[in-house]
Parts: sequence; structure tokens; C-alpha cells
Amino acid sequence: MNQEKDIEILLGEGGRDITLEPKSKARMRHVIEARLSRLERKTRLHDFIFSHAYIVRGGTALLAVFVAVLSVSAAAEGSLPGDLLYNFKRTVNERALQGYFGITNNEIAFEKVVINRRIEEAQELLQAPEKNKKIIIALGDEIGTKLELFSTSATSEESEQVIKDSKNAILSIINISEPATPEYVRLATLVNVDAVASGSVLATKSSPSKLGTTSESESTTLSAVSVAAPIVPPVSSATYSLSLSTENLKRDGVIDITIIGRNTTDETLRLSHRDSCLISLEINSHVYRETGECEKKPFDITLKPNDEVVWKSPVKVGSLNAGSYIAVLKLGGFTEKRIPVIIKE
Amino acid sequence: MWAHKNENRIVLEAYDTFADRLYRYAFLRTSSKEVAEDIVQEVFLKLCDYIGSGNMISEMERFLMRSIRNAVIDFYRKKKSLSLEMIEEGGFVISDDPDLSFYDDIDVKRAMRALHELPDKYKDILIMRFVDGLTPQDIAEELNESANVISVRIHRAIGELKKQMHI
Repeated sequence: MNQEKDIEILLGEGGRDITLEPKSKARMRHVIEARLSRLERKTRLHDFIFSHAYIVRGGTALLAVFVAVLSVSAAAEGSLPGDLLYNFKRTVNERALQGYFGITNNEIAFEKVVINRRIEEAQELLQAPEKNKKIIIALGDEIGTKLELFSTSATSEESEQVIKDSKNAILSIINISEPATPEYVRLATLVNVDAVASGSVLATKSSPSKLGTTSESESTTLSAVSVAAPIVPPVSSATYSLSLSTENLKRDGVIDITIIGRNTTDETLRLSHRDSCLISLEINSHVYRETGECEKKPFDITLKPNDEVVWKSPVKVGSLNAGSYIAVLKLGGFTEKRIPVIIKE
Repeated sequence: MWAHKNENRIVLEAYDTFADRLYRYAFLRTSSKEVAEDIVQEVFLKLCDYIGSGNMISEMERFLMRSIRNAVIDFYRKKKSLSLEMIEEGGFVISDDPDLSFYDDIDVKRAMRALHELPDKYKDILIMRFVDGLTPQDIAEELNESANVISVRIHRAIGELKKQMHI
């Protein structure tokens, strides 16, 4: 045997003896099988995801949209009129609320929630009234309109607190609005709506023969104010409203009264005035006549169908007392309503 | 994609066929049963992952031999840094003495000890030639050398081994 052969035999024998012990070999095989089994499970999951990728992707996209809408919705809840997300709050959030209340068949509760939301917004905006004046007044207008609708459908028990809150909000808004402006008048009228709803208004029919005079049941203070609005239309179909600034009201001072009217008939009306302390008279937002000081000058104008007239005049308050009445004249049907005047001492 | 049954069979068949050879390779280079077992197990687990990732293997034997060779190299790299850390800490150092206690034959034991003492380039080639039973041509293909170069290297390796064995 040559030496290479000897080496081959020795190393070959040595090598053959180097084998994994059966126990170790079995253990190692078990470990490998476990790894294969884990890979199989992982692959099955992968296969499932891969084969349903469009569902997974669609679901993920839907979830992302849902989360985004929820986030925007949450952010929009704190928004106020004029904010970027306010429209989202009004449309998406409140429609969702409406849907919820619709399911529970509780429309009144929904109206109540919405009015309260508007009141809260108004209260927040009133922290900086000068900056948000226009928005606040518009909000007041909306609160009043919603209140009007709400009042017709809600029971008195349900409406009591909402009416009280709305009234307070509107009164706060009146305080920051310019006296004798159409907005001011509108807001004052809305408070009147509130008063109607709470049942504190006395409504009586007045005689259609003469406008500018009052019904017999009225107090002298009402007469004093009424005299200041001696508009005598030839027919009784135009609608006018009379309001006053409670803020500017002083016992012996002069208050500005604005009358806004619209010819709701299809006829041309004649509006004449013989003894008015006229400051300004606008027809369809155009100044028809304007005087710098109170000059008693008669006027005689015609109002075409749908013409709007705004008449502003100072009125001597005279002997108005707390609890006195002032007329809000609604002349469409010659119906006269009286609301209490709040006089701040 | 994982063709479950088929891939499992390939891996397990490869294990049954080549596990002992890989173990031998690892043992003769690490001189430790435990280390060699760990290395072999690691090689087969990597094979599972490799095939599980959708890769195909055309020559399993070559693939496994390359894997075990790299695994042993990695082991020595780690061992160097590990030993240094352990020396610094005054702790355990892996012994370089081969565990040859399972050899009954004194000549075989001598030959294996001498093999262990050889430089890697001779040791590897003798193991491949006489332990694994590869022809010079097989070894040349595996090591990307010519058959002549391998034959010369085998001859020199035998000479070195004899010197070690004082033959």
C-alpha cells in the first residue's frame, strides 16, 4: 500500500466516523420541519392577502377615508362662522346628527340641538363683537328663524328653555347692532317672535279705517309712539313694522324709529304723510328723501308692487315707563301686535 | 410562491442526503461537535428561508457546500471578536483542540489530529479528496481551479500531512 493510499484510508476512516449522532440529527430535523411549517403558514397568509389584494387595498382606502372624515369632523366641531371648516360642520356633522335624530324619530330634539349650537357659536363670537359683527347679526337672524320654526312644532315645556336661551342670545346680538338698521329691526322682530311663542303678547285687531291711530285698549304711551308713525296708505295691504332701540331708549329723549314695508299687492299704492319728522325715506334702497335734522315736511309717494320702503324718523319718547307698550304694526291685515318695551333704568 | 409539499420535500431530502457531509465539513474545521451542529442547522434553516422566498436551486450539493463554507468563515470571524471580548473579560475561550475522543483507532486519531494542524488550504483539499471522496475534477469545479492545480495541491497536502505525522 503506498503512502497516499494509507492517508486516504486513514482520512477516509476518520471521515466516515464523523457523522451526526442520531439524536442530534432527529432534533435538527424537527427544528427544520418546524421552520418549514411556519413558512407554510406565513405563505398561506401571504397568498390570501395577495389573492385578495383588491379587497385589502379597498378596505384600507375606505378606512383611510373614514379616519380622515372623522378627523375633519372632529376639527370642524370647534369651528365658528367664517372659519374654513364651518361649512363642513353645518353640512356633514349636522346632517349626521339629523340622520341620528331621524332614526330615533325625534325631530324636535334635533331642532333643539341645532338652535343650541347656533347659540353657542353666537356666544363665542360675542367675545369679540366688533370683529364679528356682521357674522353675529346673521347668526342672530338664523337663530330667530329657527326659533320661529321650532316654536310652531315644539310643546311649551320643550320650548321653554330653548326660547329663553335664544331670546337672551338675540338680545345680546341686538345690543351690538346699529339702531334703526334693517338688521336691527329684523332682530327686534325676532324677539317679538319669541314673545309670541311664550305667550306674552296681546294681539288685537285694530280698525282698518285709520292707520296711525291706535285701538282703544292701548295706553297713552303707545299713542305717543303711534303718532310718530302716521303713515296712511290708501289701501291696507302693505306691511310695515315698527321697532325701537331699547339700548338708546331714554325717558325724555328721542328714539329713532324705523318702519320697513313692502308692497305685497299687485297694485300701485299711494303713501302719504302730512306731519312727519322725517329723517330719511328710502324706496328700494334708494334715498327718496333725506333731511339732516328733524324737519316736518309732508311727502306723498307711490309704491309699485314689491317696492320696499324704509322710513326712519326720530320720535319723542315722552312719558314712556317701564312696562309700557310700543306698537309693532303689521298692516297687511291691519293686525296690531304689542310687545313689552324693556326700559333700562 | 411556496408550493408547500414540494418545497418541504426538497428541503428534507437535502437534509437527509447532505446533513452528515455538512456536519463533517464543519466539524473538521471547527473541532467542536456543538459548533458544527449549530452551523449545519443554521445552513438548513437558511435553505428553508431561501426556498421559502421563492428561489430555485439547480444544484443542491454545490449550494449547500458553498453555504457551509461561508458559515464556517462567518463562525471564525465571530469567534475572533468573541474570543477577544472574552479574553478581556477573563472568561471562556473556545478551544482549538479537536475533539477526537470518539476515535478508537490510534492511527486514525493521529491522522485526524495532523489534519487539524494543517493550514486551511491543505486541510480543505484533503478533506474534500479523502473524507468527502471527491475526484480532483469535482474539487476543481467546486473551487474554480483547474484539475492540474488541484492534483498538485493534493500532492503537496499529503506531503505536509506526512510531516505532521512524522512518516
